[in-house]
Amino acid sequence: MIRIPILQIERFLVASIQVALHDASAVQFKDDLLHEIHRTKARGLILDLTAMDVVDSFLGKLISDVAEMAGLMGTTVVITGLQPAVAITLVELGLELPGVVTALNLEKGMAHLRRALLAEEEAGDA
Amino acid sequence: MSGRFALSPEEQATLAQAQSVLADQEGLLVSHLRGTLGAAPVARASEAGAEAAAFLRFLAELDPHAIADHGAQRASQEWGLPDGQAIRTALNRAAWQIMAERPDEYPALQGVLQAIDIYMAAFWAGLWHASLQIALARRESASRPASELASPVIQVWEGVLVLPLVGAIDSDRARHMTEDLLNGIKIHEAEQVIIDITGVPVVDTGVAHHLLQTIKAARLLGAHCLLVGIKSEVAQAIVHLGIDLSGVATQANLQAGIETVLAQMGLGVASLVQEQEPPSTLDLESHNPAGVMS
Repeated sequence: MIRIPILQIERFLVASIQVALHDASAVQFKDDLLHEIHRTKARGLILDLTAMDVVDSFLGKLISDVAEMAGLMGTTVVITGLQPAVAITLVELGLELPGVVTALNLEKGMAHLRRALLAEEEAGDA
Repeated sequence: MSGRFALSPEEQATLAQAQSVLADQEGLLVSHLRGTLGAAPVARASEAGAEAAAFLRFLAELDPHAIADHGAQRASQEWGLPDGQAIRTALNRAAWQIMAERPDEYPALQGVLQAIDIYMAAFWAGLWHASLQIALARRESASRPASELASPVIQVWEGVLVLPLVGAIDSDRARHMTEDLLNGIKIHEAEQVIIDITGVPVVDTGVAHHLLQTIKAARLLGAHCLLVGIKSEVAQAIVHLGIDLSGVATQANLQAGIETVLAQMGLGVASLVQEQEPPSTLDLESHNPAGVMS
């Protein structure tokens, strides 16, 4: 079974999917992610899909689920690096990933999380 | 095509007879062809020898398909209907001249006229078919750049793209449009996209569906879309058709759209020139020497 490394940068987690995931591996990946979120108390999670040429309905649904679950745990999920062809396919499949924040690349995803965190802290201070 | 061109044994015999009469007549054919084709552009007249040779070759080989290929080749050299007509006229004239000179060979000369008819039928078919192919290919290549130009993706500011849409949007164009936009977003690292539909005459459920698909796909790449240029009739149509655009940000026109987007980025447009003091009465008097006050 393929295990995808989940890295911590500052208060965020980053995971980059580089290979096509079997359904079992994808479920394992979801469990790992949620476990890591709980362990590190990360404020944000970036899922980088730059290397993915194909995203099927199962993985699309899984990403939506992870975003919702992580949201319940207080973690914002950002999807980065979706290829244009993948984006078109997802929309045609009706998997528009509603409720998931998206960014063009890892850098922009990181910037978004930092901004969101800053705004949250300011709101907390006030 | 091949059915039309299959020569019966009788035809072949008649044509072979005609061949014996015409074998030494290339000079006569060339002179007639040159005379008739001379009316056409110079390039055509210079080909008279080749045309005469092609006709004699046809009589020798009796292969109409080779002549059809010859016609196709002529089409690729911009030969058209008048040129084909000119060849036919010239060949007929040459045949009638030979008949006038040698009335005793009349039956064989009938074969020459028949040969000309078959020759021309094959030539026309090749010419027509190839011309049509060429015209279709040209039309296709002419329409492609137009559809590409119809939805250019323009970067108006760092990270801000404008997609001006002009004309009807069908599913084929919508796909091209979406692909171009997404690639533009990737290349320019854009986070804001303004879609201007001022030039779209009709927005029905199909067009709205395409627009929504494009906007959703752009969002997956992290770009936020703003729809501008919705005319009053389009707004009425959208509401009457019950199209749900509630999830889409809209602004009145491109200017308002750019202002909104820049404001979101913490930017704005300001005049470089400092505002002038309102003209005093003294200034007015200097501009109106007669002292006429408005």
